[in-house]
Amino acid sequence: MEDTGGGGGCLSGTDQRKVRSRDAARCRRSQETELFYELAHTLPLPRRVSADLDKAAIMRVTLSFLRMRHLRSGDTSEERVTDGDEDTMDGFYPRALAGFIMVMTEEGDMIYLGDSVDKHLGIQQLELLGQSVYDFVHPCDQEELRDLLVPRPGVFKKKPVQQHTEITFFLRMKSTLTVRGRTVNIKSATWKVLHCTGHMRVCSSDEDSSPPAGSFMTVLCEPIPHPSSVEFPLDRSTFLTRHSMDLRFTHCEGRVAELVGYEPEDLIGKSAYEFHHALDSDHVTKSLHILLSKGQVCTSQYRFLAKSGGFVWAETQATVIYNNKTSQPEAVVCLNFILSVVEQADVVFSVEQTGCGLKSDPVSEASEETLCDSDNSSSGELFQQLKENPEDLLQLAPVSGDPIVPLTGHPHTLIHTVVLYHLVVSVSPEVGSLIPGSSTKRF
Amino acid sequence: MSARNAAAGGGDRTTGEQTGDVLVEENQSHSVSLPSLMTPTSAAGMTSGMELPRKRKGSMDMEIKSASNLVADMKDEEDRSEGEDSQAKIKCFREPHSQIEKRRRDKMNNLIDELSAMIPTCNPMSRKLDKLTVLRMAVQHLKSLKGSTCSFAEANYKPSFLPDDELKHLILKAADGFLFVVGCDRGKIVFVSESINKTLNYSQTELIGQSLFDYIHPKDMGKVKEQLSASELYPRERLIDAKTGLQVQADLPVGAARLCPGARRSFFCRMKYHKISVKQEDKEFQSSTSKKKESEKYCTVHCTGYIRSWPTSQLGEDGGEGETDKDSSHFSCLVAVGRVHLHAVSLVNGANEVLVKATEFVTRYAMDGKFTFVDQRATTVLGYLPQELLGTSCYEYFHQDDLPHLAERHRKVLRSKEKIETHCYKFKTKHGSFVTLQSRMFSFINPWTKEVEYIVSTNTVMSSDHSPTDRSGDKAEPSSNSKASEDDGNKSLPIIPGISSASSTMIYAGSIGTQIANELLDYNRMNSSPSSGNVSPFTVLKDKSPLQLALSSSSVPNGEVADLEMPGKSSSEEGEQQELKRPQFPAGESLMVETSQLDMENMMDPGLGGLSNDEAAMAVIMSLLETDADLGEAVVMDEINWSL
Repeated sequence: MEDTGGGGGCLSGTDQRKVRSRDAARCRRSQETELFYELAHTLPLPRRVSADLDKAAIMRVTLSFLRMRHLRSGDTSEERVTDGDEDTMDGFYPRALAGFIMVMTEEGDMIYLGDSVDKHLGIQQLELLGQSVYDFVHPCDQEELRDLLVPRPGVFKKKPVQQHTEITFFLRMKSTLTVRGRTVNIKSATWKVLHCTGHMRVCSSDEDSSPPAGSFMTVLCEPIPHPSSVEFPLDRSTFLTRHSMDLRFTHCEGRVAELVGYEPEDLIGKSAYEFHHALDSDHVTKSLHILLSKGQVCTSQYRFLAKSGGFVWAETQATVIYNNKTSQPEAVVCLNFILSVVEQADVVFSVEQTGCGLKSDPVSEASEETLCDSDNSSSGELFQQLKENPEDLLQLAPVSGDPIVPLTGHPHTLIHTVVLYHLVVSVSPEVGSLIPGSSTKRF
Repeated sequence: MSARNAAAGGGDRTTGEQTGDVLVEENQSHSVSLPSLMTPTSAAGMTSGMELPRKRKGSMDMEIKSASNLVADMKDEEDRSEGEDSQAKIKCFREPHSQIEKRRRDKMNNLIDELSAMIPTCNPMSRKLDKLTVLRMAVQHLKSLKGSTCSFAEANYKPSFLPDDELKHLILKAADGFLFVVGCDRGKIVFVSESINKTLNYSQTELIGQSLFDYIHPKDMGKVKEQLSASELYPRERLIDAKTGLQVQADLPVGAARLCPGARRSFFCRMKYHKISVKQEDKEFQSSTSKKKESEKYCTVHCTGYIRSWPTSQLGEDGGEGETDKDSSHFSCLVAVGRVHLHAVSLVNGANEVLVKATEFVTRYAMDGKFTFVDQRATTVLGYLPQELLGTSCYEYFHQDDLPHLAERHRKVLRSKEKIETHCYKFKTKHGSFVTLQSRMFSFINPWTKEVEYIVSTNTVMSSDHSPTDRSGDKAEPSSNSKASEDDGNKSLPIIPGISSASSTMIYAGSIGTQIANELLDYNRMNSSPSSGNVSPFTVLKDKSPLQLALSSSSVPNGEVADLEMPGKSSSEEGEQQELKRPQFPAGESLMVETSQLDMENMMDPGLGGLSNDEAAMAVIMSLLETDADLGEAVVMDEINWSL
């Protein structure tokens, strides 16, 4: 401490009082500082770390620590019985995860963060501990998070407060990491999309330490890998696609052929919206909105329709790519993980999967198409036959890319039509019996 | 892109505040004369306190106590600033500084309050404690905690905020998963955590020492082997160039580096789920798995982890059964956390469940009502295979009595973001009978182009006991004639004339959808939003056909409708020919000139929309029939010109 009381003997009364009160304050502050240091040292932190903390940080960390302790004491017994065997392995969990754990209070205080947080956000664990999560969350996502942490009574009235409520959401948080792995100042932080999955749990207050009971959200936050820096190697059941912003395919890796059956040309120009099972519509639509509003998303499993029938289960990580100069969204790059082989390959779901639909242009005549469709479906044999001779199909259902010619001018087409009508006729008696049979077989 | 802007804005704001804050911060550290306490790291903390004025309550009484503190601080600062040459600068910041200081103290006092609430020894005393006492008690409390649970801190080589086992519980709570360690060479499971019991229903001891490949779906083995060996993997970590955003094609093999310790892994694989489950938590699993075939007793597991090089000595300890690989003193393992994706399970469940009781099916329509997607459950309900429905218009299957209502709903769903529910309506099955359905529809709008991509409809079967004879019996009088011919056409498919008459009704019905789609396009074009940039060439056509106008705006008695819907044989053939010539545009572009004017009228007339939707729809259908029959030829020529 510097000696500022060096004014000497010629001090007036007020000056003396000034000096005295200053000394007293200084003494008190030094006492306080002493205590802060002591507090810091009692924290379960390496000494060199705790010595570097400032007062506010000490308070934050201490509070977080105590709150976490409270939280842990709250969930009694159930899973606390750990046998010694696992202890040595416990340390591997955090590293094995592709993200970090975050525990938040209702108010949004981050009372725990995994120490790998700096690998993902570039910000040290201790800098974040005890801080309000809202200071690090994108302004547009704050409302969403707040609603999750403190469900508004009006909105979620029907839902009773459960002990464990599963939660999954996407959050943009500040990140000081650049694509190249450098760290920048927090002031020039960028937003990173985190996929958060976890639980909300209400902590009941127990007697011995009774801070107010509150709910805590424990989430695993996983950043979605940006296609320009994917850490892990991709296996052969993964393929990359690129889309325009309206989600039409503009590029597709050739690997798609062995996984889903399409050649890249089959997909390019098509809307990706046509390729999922309608039962997954809600989910896919939701993911899309997240993608476009936040810039990245990863879907959960959905059914990607395979080329000539059936579907594969897939999961997709999508990223909006921004133009470097204009920083306008330019494209969507998807990393598609195919999880299964083609299931229900004999079932046709969408127009894309029918022979006619595979041509990228729609078919020019509705009733004609109906007929040729009913042909190749109602009898497996005929279907095969038509599949093997796709020209027939195409002629019957000319694509609009072809010049549209009046029927009268083309006796050839007419003949085909007639032939097909006959096919329908010969097939139709079986159809009635075929349907129940096939349906029971399938289902 | 708005998000981007907002982000930038947000950033600016915070930086502004921070710079101000940092300046102040420096002053503060001088005045307190304890610079070591005020590291720049606290700057962030300060801003947080300011931006969010929460938990202000209860700080007032502390304020009084710290009043002396304030005075002292101010005086200190006074002293300092007198000697400083940057006086002007400080003056400039004086006002905000004192406020910032106050906020800082408030924040600190709040923290102290919170701390005192967390410490049991502080709690019983109702009165407020001063800062120093609280701090002292906190130190004591923490020390006592440390004493009781000595496991943390110094016990570990690296003391951390949370002991490992606690962290594990947190992780398991947040993500239902299990940790496993697998030898890279043979896929032997060296370790698996107990929690696999909850996810895949194996006991820990059951798996340790086994080969991982015995538990992996045969089709996924290659994939997992790739991940373990990693040498054959293409290192494609840079999938696209960060600058250009284009895909990087060069697949340079880095091979060896891939197996180096610390290399990340992330992959999906299907793992066998242990079926014999007695536990209650697996009930939902059980219900679905028991009915499933072989391929479906697997769970998709998302594995994330890293390659770790393991000293063999340690390995022996863990495995317990002499797992030590004598070949090398270090051998590589994959350390990973496997997580079962729960919503996936529910999805599979859902699909399975509905297969059992097919009272519901999902379809997707193009904007004009053409089937573009049909759930296979439709087959059990309707008799049609999906292939038969796909590409045809749903209007071809609706009972004529329901057409106005459904057309009206169709129109509504295209303009609404809400889910629209229809009344019960009759849908013609393959066998000629009618099944009563009710649908919930919503239009999916491409979020980027704001154009309708398709309509998703969930159709529920209300009843299906209408035999075809019943239908023709209770049919409304005026339409019986056309109805009969239609039924005829269905039952007697072999007769060629029958087909042509059936298809003629199909044509009419199908064009209703097209027309409704056009309506929307016209409507969109009228209020053309900037996002949809495609301007149709048809916008130039503004002349109105008085005939169509009259038809659209007048309510028409039902008898007339029936007349119109009863096509003579010759006219139906003519219609068919026209249909053949009419090009089918993709849903987004399909346009029919002859109807567009009319529909704009419809759209613009609020009275029509509000009062008599059904009648309007009927009128639309009629006018369409009219134009199809009379004006078709010329119009088709027009369209061809436009389309080419």
